[in-house]
Amino acid sequence: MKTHSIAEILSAHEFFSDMKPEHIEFISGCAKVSHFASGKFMILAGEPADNFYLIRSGHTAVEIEIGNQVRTIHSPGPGEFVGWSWILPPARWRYDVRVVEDVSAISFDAECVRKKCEADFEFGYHIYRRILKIVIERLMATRIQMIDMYA
Amino acid sequence: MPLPMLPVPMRIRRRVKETADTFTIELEPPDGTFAFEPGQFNMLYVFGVGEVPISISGDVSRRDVLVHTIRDVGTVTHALGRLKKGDWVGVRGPYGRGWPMKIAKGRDVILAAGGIGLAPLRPAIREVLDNRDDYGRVVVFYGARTPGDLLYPKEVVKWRARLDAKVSVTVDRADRTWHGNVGVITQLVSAARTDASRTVAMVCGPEIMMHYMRIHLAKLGIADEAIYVSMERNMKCAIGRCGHCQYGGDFICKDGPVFTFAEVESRFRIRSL
Ligand SMILES: Cc1cc2nc3c(=O)[nH]c(=O)nc-3n(C[C@H](O)[C@H](O)[C@H](O)COP(=O)(O)OP(=O)(O)OC[C@H]3O[C@@H](n4cnc5c(N)ncnc54)[C@H](O)[C@@H]3O)c2cc1C
Ligand code: FES
Repeated sequence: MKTHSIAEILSAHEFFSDMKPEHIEFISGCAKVSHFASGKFMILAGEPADNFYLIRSGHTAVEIEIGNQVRTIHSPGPGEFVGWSWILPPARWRYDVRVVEDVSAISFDAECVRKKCEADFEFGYHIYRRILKIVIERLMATRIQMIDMYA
Repeated sequence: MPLPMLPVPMRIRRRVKETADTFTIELEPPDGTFAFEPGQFNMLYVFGVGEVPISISGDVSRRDVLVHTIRDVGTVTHALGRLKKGDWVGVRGPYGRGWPMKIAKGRDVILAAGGIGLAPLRPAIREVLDNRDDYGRVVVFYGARTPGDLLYPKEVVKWRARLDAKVSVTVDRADRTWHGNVGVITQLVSAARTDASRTVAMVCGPEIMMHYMRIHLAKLGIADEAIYVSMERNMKCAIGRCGHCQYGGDFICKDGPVFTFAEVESRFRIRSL
């Protein structure tokens, strides 16, 4: 089976479409392949947001504790990014992300990406613009989720 | 032939509680046969209470039983919910223009249901899955409020196990016992992977859900002429005479309830219509 380099995997993803090859090459340098077993936590609320993830296979649950109940509010799966809290200070996670089905992901070193964004504004602009698009989509989805559409 | 306005009494042969507020009744047609098309509805009459339009949610190939899944939202649906096995319901129908099963043949099909919308769409889903070779890629999306609100869970599990159709289910919120998707139904759409130019989409649910689904289906390149929605308005005669269900220039009971989005676009989500 042909194995793809991280740069090849990222180039094929919608998020990186039309991005300059040298930018993709750079961000690939901040990334590695990671695996998480079902039941484990990829992210724990309150901890430093050192990494963020692009899920390749498997499923996760973004969880929030309300009283003594745990509610799943979103379930990122293949092709989706997990984790935004790394972008701005204080760069600490706000939710838990639990692995529901074994995950294979590309894990990005947040510090490495953040530094590059600050040093190279063009790179930073492309990254933030694409992240903003995803955040807007999530916000829209959350709004629809909140209106209790099926009531 | 029975008079179009005269309900035929039918006995309830089975009653199933689906969720906290939704139940299914199976009725016995008196002469043992009742033919309908997916997406059509009947007027169900509770003696002494009133009459409501309810879609037929059973199998088109099973003519010996008439299946209706009903959500208790008010006077008549509540009265229907109190009926037991052996009780009688007055039935008029089937009425209306249903899902575009003939048009969908040979094409990719997206069937998307939200909440109680799975009931009117189930005959179409069954028709497509039972005649799988007649269609291209088949994608089913189903969204509900919580796992406890999912209709026909055993049947949906069977659909999901099929290798020849992509069936995705999502809920708005869940606890840890739910291992499936959490999020809005529209987020599932981008994974449809159908050929937009030859896709027929059938969407059934609250208007707000159909509105958002149409936005996301359009993003895939599916034309409004190929997106079908089922509309609901109050009804009385159900045969295009009284004007109760008038929707712009159409009567939902006769010209619908299923319309292409292109047909209803200018009137969609206008509250006074
Ligand atoms: C073509 C068609 C097919 C339908 N198929 C089904 C079906 O398969 N299963 C099913 O459960 N229902 C279906 N409905 C909806 C059903 O007809 C109504 O829920 C019913 O008429 C309500 O009558 P009621 O006397 O129980 O409530 P009412 O006493 O008339 O109303 C009580 C409350 O319910 C609200 N209400 C009324 N109608 C609806 C509605 N459609 N949706 C949500 N809230 C409503 C009212 O605003 C009011 O607040 C269909 C409607 C149409 C037009
Ligand atoms: S209900 Fe009378 S015209 Fe439609």
